[in-house]
Amino acid sequence: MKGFSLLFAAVMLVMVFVPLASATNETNPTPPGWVGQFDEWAGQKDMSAYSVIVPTVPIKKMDAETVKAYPGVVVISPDMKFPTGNNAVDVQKSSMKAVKINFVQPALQTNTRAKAAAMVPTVAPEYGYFNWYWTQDTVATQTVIIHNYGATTASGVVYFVSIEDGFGTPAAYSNLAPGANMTVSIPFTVVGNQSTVGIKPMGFFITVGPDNTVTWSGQLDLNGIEKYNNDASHLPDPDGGDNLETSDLYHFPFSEGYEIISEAATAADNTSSPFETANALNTYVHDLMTYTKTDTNLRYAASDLYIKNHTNEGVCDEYATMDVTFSRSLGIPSRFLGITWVNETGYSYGHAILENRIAGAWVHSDPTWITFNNAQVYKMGNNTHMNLTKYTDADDNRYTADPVGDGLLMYEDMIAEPFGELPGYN
Amino acid sequence: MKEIALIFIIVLVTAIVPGTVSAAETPTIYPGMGGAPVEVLTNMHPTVKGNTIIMEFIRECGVGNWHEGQINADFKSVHLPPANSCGKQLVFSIRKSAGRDDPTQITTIWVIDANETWSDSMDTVYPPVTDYRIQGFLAGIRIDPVFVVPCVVIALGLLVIFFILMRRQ
Repeated sequence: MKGFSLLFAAVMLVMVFVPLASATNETNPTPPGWVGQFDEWAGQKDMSAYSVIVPTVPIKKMDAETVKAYPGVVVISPDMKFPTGNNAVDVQKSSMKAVKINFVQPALQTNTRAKAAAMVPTVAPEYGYFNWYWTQDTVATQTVIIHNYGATTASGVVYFVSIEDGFGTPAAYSNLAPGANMTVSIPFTVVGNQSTVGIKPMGFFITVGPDNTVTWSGQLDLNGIEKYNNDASHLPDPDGGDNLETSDLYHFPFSEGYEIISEAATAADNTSSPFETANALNTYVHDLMTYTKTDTNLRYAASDLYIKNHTNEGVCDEYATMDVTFSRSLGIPSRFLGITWVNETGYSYGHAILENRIAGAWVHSDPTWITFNNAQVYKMGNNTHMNLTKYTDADDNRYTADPVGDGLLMYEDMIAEPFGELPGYN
Repeated sequence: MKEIALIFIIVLVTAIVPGTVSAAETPTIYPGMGGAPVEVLTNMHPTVKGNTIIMEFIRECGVGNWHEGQINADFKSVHLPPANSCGKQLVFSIRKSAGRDDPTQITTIWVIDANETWSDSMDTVYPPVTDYRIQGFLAGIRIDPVFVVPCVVIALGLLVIFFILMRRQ
């Protein structure tokens, strides 16, 4: 009986002291002494520590030793110069991946002309088709149409180069008659683990003869953009590409989408892991966007191009849309999520976030709140019943009661997949 | 038997009426809807809660449909119109590179007339307090002794009662 009373007394004391220990608020979370320690132990947890953390692997620049592992790839001397301003993008004949670039005739290039001694015929490009959207660990074939401006037949090599990374791929040509053109295809290898994603200045140079005399070199007016590889051994989408595809919300793969891809690549330039890239994009979108609540913003989900054409204004779903489009354009599978919860006063709240697929796990990202990999942030704000819905396959034709093709979609234009109250958020 | 039937009816009614109410159509909450303006504001910029000037403005004027503006590459402005007729509006600037919970995120505050057009060259009212503990103290955020003291007294009282009970046994 005595033992029971003691136990009962202990239970009663614990019942009184637990609320006492919790008598704090969020800006002063830890009372002093053991009460604070207990509260820390028993209180809400920052679950971000349990989410996937992918350490950033420093990228080592390609050197004579590492290049041996990549057949067909050569290290380019840092002394090699790539002058700009000798070419221009042919807008009329440019498509999504291969952009036509026209070159200035070498007669207008005094430096090249100086090198063009009588012994070595000047071989220079006329135009080319360049694949600028590089997927890591794949081959991006570059096509250059070269012309022999000299008086003798020429043979040599065309090197296509990632100027920033200092490596390239050579392709030989031979017996190019004076005044003739020849098409040279260069199977440029995008070496993923010797490079970062983002903006990649492209260049190439042409050599002639056994001494490899350089008769032309230059940097292209269009930058390459390196993205992650989504095959099974790299960064696959578990939903078979649903979280990488374009739609009426996300426009990056089309020719008008170069702007989207280029902006994403600039924002996440020189990041070397999907975790680092996604985190950089989260911050970028938060800084880029201007929170503006209008009837249009509240009623519709705006497409990436609509948002860009309207000075990057919007509310949380526009923030999430921009982050999804940027992430997908760099090859990070991403899904747009609607999230609702009940706040501490009992009212419902609607919000939009996204998740990035990284290292086999879905990682939370909220560019509106500028928080990443922290799915517990809503619970820590004393909200309950965090309920998630994936919105996918946006098609402006699906819901017929609103205008089509204006870049403004209703949520009825999308397919909703309820996820319910996911444990990571609750 | 009649009583049982009556109880049964009451139980049925009690079970059916709330069920029917719950099953009634509730408005769909779309992702972009957010919540009350002040809640959206403090969710996006939680350090607002620790800023005395802004919180005083909110207490006095409420917050209407607030919005942001871009100042330059490093700063944004946040514009709080009043929700009532207090005749004032508040604008504060935030440093973009600051983290969500960084107490130095809010850099400058302006309180101007409701019909005035804001410019960042206007006189500011913000005393820059950077220590979040000072900000929290100024904002009155600390353990409330009104709650703590009775709890301690009750706990000690219960302890004494149980001690006496045990002694009697």
